Amino acid sequence: MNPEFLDADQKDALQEISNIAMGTAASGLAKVLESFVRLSVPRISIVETSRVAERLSTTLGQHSEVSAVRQAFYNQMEGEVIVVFGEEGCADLADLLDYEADGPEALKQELLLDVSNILVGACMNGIAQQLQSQVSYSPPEILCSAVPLDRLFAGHRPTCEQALLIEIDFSLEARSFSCNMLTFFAPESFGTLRTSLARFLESL
Amino acid sequence: MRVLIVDDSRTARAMCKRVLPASLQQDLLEASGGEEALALCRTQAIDIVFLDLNMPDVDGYQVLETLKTEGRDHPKVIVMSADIQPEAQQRVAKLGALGFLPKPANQATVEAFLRDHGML
Repeated sequence: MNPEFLDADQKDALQEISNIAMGTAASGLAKVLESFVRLSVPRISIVETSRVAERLSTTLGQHSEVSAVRQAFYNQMEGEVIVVFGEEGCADLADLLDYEADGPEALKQELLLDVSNILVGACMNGIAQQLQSQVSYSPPEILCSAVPLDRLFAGHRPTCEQALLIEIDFSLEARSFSCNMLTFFAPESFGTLRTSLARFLESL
Repeated sequence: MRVLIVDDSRTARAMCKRVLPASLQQDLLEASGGEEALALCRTQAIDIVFLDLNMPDVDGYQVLETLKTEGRDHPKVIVMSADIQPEAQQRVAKLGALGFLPKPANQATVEAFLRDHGML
């Protein structure tokens, strides 16, 4: 973590705020899938966006192929959220939602867009609400479909060179489905984020 | 009453402290993980534990399981977690937790819970 950007208290606060937001997101997902969702402890770091795919291989390396959905957010905070799905878990997801696992590609993509929408909406709204900020969203779009991990950002990668990254993993118990939610805050948002976190901490 | 707050996040521990009634803030201990919490439960006379679930290494479920395995009916454990899935609440109840308070908890909810369970 860059010490000039967030101090230890601010980083801890952002981690807890993310934790609360992802709890709501997991609850929404659990309702839709009628399954218990396991959560990771959120991880926060400053990353060079050109090196993100390489870095993700340590957490996502178990998936031979991945699909991903991208959604930008803007207003008082700017950035984008990318939800990465392990390809083998997509069939599981289709099964849980009574879709045909080998159905048309458009149907699979609709499924991923729906799941992303639940997670991104709940997480980002939760973070923004706790930080008393407003965010708006672009429509979600398929970033890639069934590609090797090193091709994750072949079509698009986060536009800024450096970003604050929050990583959250969701998985289902007794199922192979898992997904990783990557929230990139653009440098333009760092000032707002720092001010909002300082205000949040003062309120404790 | 001696109270123990268990959470890996300093912010979460501060948020928990802020909503506790004054009478429960007189003798307050903190632990930043499950292992440390279990060590305190074994060596100190603790009355109430506010326990987070989602922690690295030893998580809240493992703390509850261990306390149950060791046959401890004391301290009383109140889970305070952001994981608001109904199944999470059922699981902790089965593991012996007295109750479940969703994060972020507010003072009124905590006081009502404590009053309902004869702790205030």
